[in-house]
Amino acid sequence: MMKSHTLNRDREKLIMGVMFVLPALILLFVFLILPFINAFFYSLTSYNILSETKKFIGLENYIILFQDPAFWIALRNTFYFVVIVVPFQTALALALALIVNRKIKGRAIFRIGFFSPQITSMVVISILWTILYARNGLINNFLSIFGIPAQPFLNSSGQAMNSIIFMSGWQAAGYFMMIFLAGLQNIPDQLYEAVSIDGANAWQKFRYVTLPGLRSSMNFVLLITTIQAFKLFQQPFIMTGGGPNGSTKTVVQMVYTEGFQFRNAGYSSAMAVIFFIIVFVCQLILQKILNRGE
Amino acid sequence: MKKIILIILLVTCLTISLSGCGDQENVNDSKNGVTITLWTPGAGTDHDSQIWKQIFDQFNKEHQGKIRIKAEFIPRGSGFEYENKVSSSVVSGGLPDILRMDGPNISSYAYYKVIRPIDQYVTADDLKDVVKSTVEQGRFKGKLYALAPNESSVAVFYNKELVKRAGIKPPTTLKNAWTWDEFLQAVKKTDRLDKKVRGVVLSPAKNEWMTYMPTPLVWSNEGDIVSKNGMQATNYINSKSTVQALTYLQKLSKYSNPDPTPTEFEDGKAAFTIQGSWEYVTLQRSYPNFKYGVTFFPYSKVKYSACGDWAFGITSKSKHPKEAAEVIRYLMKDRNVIKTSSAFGQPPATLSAFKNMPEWNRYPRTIVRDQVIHTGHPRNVVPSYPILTQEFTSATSDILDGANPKERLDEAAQSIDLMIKRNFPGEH
Repeated sequence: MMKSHTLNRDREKLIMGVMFVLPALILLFVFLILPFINAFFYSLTSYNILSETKKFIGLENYIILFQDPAFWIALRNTFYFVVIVVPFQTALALALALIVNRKIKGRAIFRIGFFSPQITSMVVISILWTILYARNGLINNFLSIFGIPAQPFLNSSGQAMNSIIFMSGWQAAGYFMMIFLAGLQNIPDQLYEAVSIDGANAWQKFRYVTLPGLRSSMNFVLLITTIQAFKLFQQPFIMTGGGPNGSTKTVVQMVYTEGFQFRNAGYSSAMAVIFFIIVFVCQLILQKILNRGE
Repeated sequence: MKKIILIILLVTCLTISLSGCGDQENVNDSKNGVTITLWTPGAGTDHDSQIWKQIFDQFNKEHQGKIRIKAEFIPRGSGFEYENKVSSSVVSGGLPDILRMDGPNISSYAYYKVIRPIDQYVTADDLKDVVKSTVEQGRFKGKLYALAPNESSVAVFYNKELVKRAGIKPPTTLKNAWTWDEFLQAVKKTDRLDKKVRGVVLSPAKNEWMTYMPTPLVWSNEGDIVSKNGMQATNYINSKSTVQALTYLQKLSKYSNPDPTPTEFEDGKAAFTIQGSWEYVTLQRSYPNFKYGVTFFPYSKVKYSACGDWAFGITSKSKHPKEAAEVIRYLMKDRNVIKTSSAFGQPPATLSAFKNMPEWNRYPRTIVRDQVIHTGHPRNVVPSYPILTQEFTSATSDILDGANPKERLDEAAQSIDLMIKRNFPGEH
């Protein structure tokens, strides 16, 4: 008698649980999983959005993709961005967190100040920084104080991507600073006191107490920053349009151009599928590396 | 009881969320005759949309019981929202009877049979009154697909005071229009008249302007950016004529501020500027005391100028093409062409409208009038245009930044041909 009663209660709980998650699952399926499956099928066709026919062409899009020099350039640019911006932005976020963690007067203002770039939309920031980076813009005016000649920044294929990296790091560091801040405040003060007694200096404190204590925050920040970095689109789209000379063209930008401007849904879907696989594999590798220590 | 409440809540939530997927009713009320749906870009509440609404309402009054226009205004958003809506409607259905489209898109829509030819609804007499460039813009593979009531142009605007000081007298008749060299000399002479004044200001915009403005230079030099059918760029975009044209543009840019403000010319910091015909309106509204002059776009071998505007066409799936054509003919009628052109500050696309609009028969607007009627050359009416313009604007931007024109255009030719082959596999 008791057993069947418990079983019913368990089943009820299960049904309730499923029903609560169902709306979210449906939305996730319809707007994320289904389009991805669709994209995979489109990638096997030569489908132009304006035509009504989709011709099945098998893996031809993928074969063309692997031989497309523009794709490899975009991939190289994207990887360059990821490899540079992740350590730069993370180090900056950590440095800022360490600064605002100290009990100095007005540190709330610093926290707000460092975080504020996050509040504005990336589009607005990109437009503003395009003006800042201009040949006679504020940044060049500032550099001229030190006698540095005016830099081309966004107008040079050598400097354009680095300029975007610097701006992106500046914008997002505030957000991850908050994450590091929370992590820092979770490190018990007693640990610092203990190593102080043992005669540790600031660097040793940082290396043996702070960094290990931040381990989970660091993993999170590195993973999220990496995945976000792969998606680079808004900054080059607005600031340079992929130039100069294709030096800032990213994969997501190519997917947009091919899919919406040239209306070639088949080819851009193939690119999206390959890119998903690449990012997924990179993320797996990164997770493996980060979890090795545990 | 709890379960019932939960189920009711869930069903309510789902129903509310699904109500977002409404469908526009297409009521063909026999009382009103035939309903013609029409799409045009706009916000519905802005000035331009109001003008269209007035014209549509007038049409409905005059054709009561026979044809009724049901217009939908679709915002352009940050750039391509309107085009995206058209693209997605090709798949999901719901395209209107009449579609308004930007000149360069006509060829793509015609190629994929989104719109249908309208030759049978337009007589030769009708077309005689329309400026040549508008008809060319709407013609794909010999068939007419769309007509625009307004046109556009690009001319040379100059600062009267600075130009006078340098002792320069820009021509006011098309016969005496400046050659490339003459324009370059004028720019050189006015450069650094004052320390902060440059000879010319060229807008560095990295968008359609970078194809719209420079391509007439290419055509003027008897070059082109792609083959007639639009399927090959090599030997066209990197031909000697094209390279010369972009080299000339690069030479001009040496006398321009490389990072100008949007109002560089209006603020008096440049003697000359190459601008769209909308500059008339800008100067009239915001700089009424600024003394300016206008002269023709410079030429090399043949006189050509930029042109093109949004045109009306009929979709292939429309069930009432004859009535839709009636609407288009109405929009091309003199009084409506005059109404829209003066409201939008654009030159009209018909010769009779030019005759009946006094402002276009007085200097400085005569410059743009002569260009629209005699030298307008539409952008290439080919389905590969999106690829062309993407790569051409990128190449031109790089050339203005100092890249070697021949090398950069060779690269552009290569990547364009690769993309054309991939996007139009049947055309080789």
